[in-house]
Amino acid sequence: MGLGQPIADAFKLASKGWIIPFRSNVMLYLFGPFISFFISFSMWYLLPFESQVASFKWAVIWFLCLSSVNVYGVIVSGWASNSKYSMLGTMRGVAQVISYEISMGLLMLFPAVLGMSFEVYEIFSSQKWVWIAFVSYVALVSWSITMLAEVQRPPFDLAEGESELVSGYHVEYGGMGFTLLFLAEYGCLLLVGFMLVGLFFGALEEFSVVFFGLMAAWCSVWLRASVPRCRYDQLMMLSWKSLCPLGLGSVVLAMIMKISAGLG
Amino acid sequence: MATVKLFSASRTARGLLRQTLRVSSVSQVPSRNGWVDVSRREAPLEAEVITENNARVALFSEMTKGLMTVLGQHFREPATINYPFEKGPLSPRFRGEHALRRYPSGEERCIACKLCEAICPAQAITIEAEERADGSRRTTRYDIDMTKCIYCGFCQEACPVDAIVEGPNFEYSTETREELLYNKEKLLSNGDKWEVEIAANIQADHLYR
Repeated sequence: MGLGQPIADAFKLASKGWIIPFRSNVMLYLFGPFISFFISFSMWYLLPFESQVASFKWAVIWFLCLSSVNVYGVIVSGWASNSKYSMLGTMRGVAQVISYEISMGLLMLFPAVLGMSFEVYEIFSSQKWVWIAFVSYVALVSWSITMLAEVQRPPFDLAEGESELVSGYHVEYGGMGFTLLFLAEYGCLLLVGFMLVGLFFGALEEFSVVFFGLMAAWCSVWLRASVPRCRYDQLMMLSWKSLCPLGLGSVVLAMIMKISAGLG
Repeated sequence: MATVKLFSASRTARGLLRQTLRVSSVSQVPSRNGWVDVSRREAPLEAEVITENNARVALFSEMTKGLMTVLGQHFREPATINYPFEKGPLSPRFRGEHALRRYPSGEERCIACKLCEAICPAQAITIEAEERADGSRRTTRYDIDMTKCIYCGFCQEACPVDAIVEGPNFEYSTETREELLYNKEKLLSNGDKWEVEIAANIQADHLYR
């Protein structure tokens, strides 16, 4: 079955030694994975559950801030390794994340405007009558694509193009450093799955959030198995020429809907 | 300068010659009308076509097809085999480890004609021969350097008595290089070991030889 494999892997990775690359920036090299890991898992704070006592008023802003700051994990760990490959991977990754952040922010405003709240719990529970996925298919699809690129999953994993960059910004990491970077990446992926289910399908119960969120994450693995990596210019064109206008359009659409609902 | 002149003069002369020749040959060359335009056609500007294309893009029909193919493959039996316990099929013509065969009487087949040694492109075979006490010609030495061998199968093609053959065995890795320098004894023992399979393979393929 191979169910013991992840556990064995975790023990193996934790027990491995550190290698510090020649003439690297040691402090930052050691610190980079921790930034990534810490920020990625601080984002989990905003995830609402029905039973959760604490409700966070500015969760959407919190998410946008932290996902912007998340780039620093990539920058620091890539730059401090003193390697051409990690440097190139870092540059690609940063350009990609920053480009997609714009459409991510715009598309996140769509449910926020419809729910009239920055509080994730309220956005989620505002969909009691109709899911936002039914309100705008375009917003759902653009959000999924944007988030796929934002967490650098295939087909948008240009930052770790194995064929040309070995494995991108974490080439020089092994053992616990690699584990942290990896956990950060997969933590982001799972969070994105849960966010998708919540923002567009209004899932609130623990079971449905976890189950359908994992389904969404599984879909990204499915995509990874099926789709080849896209070219860099295609990636950038998709972001700036397709997703940004669609995001802006979604915001306008949401405002029009809100205003006309107020009028009527 | 003069050489340049000469060079260009020859070129222009050739051009002129070609032109004059072409005039005479043009009537014989059939006109080329079998060409195919492979450039992408523009979709016709009709509402139906445009709607269909847009729907195809928006609903990711191509992507869905690909994803469904992958999903279908996921539930199918994997193509990989559990190698040391399962093995893939081998052709009767498979060229693996060499073997020297014997006649059913136990007499070795090789008559030391050295055709295999002569044809071997990698010069991996070394043969020395002597007359035996009973007057027949046999090898005293038959070595194959398996590290030189390129497994082309010329030796078994050259052999007039089907003595040297490449058998179906492909699992004979060793830990030292010296173990791959096969001598006559090793080759004969291979022949004894694999005779059943080798004979079956030759039988299966004899119609095509």
